[in-house]
Amino acid sequence: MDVIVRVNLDNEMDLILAHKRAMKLAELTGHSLSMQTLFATAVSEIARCAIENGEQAVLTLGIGQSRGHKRWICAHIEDNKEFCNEDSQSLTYAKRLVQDVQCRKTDGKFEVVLNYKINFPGTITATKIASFIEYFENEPPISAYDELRRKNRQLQELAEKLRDSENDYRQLTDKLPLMMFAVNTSGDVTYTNEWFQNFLGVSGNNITASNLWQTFVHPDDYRHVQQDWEKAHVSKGACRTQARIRKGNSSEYLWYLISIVPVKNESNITTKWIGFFADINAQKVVEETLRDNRELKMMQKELQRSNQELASFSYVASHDLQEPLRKIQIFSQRITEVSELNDKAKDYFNRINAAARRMQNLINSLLNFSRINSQHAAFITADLNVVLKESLDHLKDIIDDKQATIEAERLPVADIIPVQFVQLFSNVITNALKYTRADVSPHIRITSSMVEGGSINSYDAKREQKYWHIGISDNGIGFDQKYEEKIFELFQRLHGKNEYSGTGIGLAICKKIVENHNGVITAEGQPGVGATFNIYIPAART
Amino acid sequence: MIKYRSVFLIDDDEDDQLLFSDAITEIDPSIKCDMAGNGIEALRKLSGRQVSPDIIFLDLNMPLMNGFEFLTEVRAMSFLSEVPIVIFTTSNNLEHAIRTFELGASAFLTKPAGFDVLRTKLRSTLKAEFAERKNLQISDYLI
Repeated sequence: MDVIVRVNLDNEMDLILAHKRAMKLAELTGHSLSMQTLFATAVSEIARCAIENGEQAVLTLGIGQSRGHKRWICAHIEDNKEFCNEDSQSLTYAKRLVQDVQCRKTDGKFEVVLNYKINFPGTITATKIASFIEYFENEPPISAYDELRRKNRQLQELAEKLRDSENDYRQLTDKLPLMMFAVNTSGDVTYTNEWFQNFLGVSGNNITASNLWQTFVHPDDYRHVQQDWEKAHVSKGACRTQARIRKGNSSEYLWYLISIVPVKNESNITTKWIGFFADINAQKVVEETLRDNRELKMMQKELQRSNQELASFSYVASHDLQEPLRKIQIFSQRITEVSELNDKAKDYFNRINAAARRMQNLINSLLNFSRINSQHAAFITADLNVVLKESLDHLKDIIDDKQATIEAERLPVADIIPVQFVQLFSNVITNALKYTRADVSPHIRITSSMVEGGSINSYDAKREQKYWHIGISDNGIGFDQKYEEKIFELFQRLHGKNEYSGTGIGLAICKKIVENHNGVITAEGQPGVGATFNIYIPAART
Repeated sequence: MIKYRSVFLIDDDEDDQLLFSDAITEIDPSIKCDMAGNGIEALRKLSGRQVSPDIIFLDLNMPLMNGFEFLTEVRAMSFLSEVPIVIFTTSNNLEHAIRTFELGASAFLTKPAGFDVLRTKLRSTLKAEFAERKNLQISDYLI
């Protein structure tokens, strides 16, 4: 059957519509006025019965067709409920008017079908049928009620379409690899898509925008996300930011682009916010790697520049700084030689000389320090016992002078820069010989062992690495443990120049040397008891 | 026995000029002591025969013409081939020393920080014999 027009049968008013349309269809198909009335009355009879006894009856008017080119107009009145039976008065009456009236029951639907023969079937072409449909679509409203019905039907159709399209959208948003959500003006999350729920392990219920940030945004990013969101809230503009978002209940954070835009009504008032999180982790990782590389290159450049500066400083220090000093020394010495000075004046000149000598020592030590910075000396597998012996040979005079005893365990063979290690041992031992107690003869003990990196009390030690530990202990004046960091800094002295000589560079050089060896140096002290310097260097080449 | 009676110092540092002449005077007041502030001035004085030293003391770091350049220039002056040139400098750089010997210097003297040391070093330099030294090692040149 080609459907021409439908009428919902809800109340008495619909009966009028049903009658009028049945009349019209009969007219359009070339039936005489009496024939039109017969068909329309029969349709009205069944329709009335359906309105009275049925639930949601619908009348469909159309044109039927058989293979033998026979055509007829037909009326189907359909409902969920069996609104009449063979004994019904309406059915009997209708059968008298139209011969072909049948009741059918299929799939829980009840249907009365009226077929009314068309006398000149050749005139009813497909074009004609289309023109009938068009006629009823554009039919001027028969009444205000009819108009209402029509609008209602259009609305229903629209609603259906909307439902379909909403389903499509929901499916689409659920399948997109984006986390989508909507937030109402109070900040509650009102919608979340599947991806959002799967990734974060939550549904939209009971989340607000604020605790969404708090729970899932990385602590380091939380502040700026919160700020950006509040800024957008105030300005009623879009919020676009980037943050690391935690995956579900895991501790894994991935980089996401966060975009939230306000949805405004016609009066430009924000009614809600919709947003999404897009995965930008790969992009971010690449970006970070590139930036790290750039920073590394800049640092390398900076390092080169600083090394160059150091080299030119070394030159200036070695020549230009020492020149004036030499003059001060030589001329003050000349004055004491060539003129008759009283004792006071001689003392002053001696002090000038002593100060100049100290300055010369300082310059030489600084030069040593800067050379250690810039040296690219080669690592050699060397016997530390030999290295220690060389250091002790250098210090022979002062050891004899102080009547010090030095006791050393057997030291290992290690990969080191020998020249630097000789200086390292010399500096630490010189230090021990310098800060002695007046009433105690100096005793220095050198120990050796292998330790795990994890047992070293320093952040610079690698846990998985094994280290050689060389301890150098003395029974000197010691120091307060709180100065441990300070004593390795350049120009840091714990004692006045007049008590103990020194430039404040020796231990800074030690630290630098140990760092050159990828090692760690620490110091332990107890005032009045002694000090221990612990040197740790990797047991295997790193 | 002092071997050299007339000395010529080429040095831009006036303090060092003063100390040098003081030391020479204390060693022997009869020794003639001439000065020049740089290589160019020295070459002018030498080629004009304003000075005719028995021995030349030469600083390395000088304006206009430094010690290395002077050594190169002075080779062309055959009348100076017998005059020993002693490098007198603050540098204690061994590479500098080797370079000057290659350019014909006879000895390398680093300026000391004490006047007495200076006087002693100069005295021994003035007594020394700088004739044929080809068989000596670098360390023998350093005073």
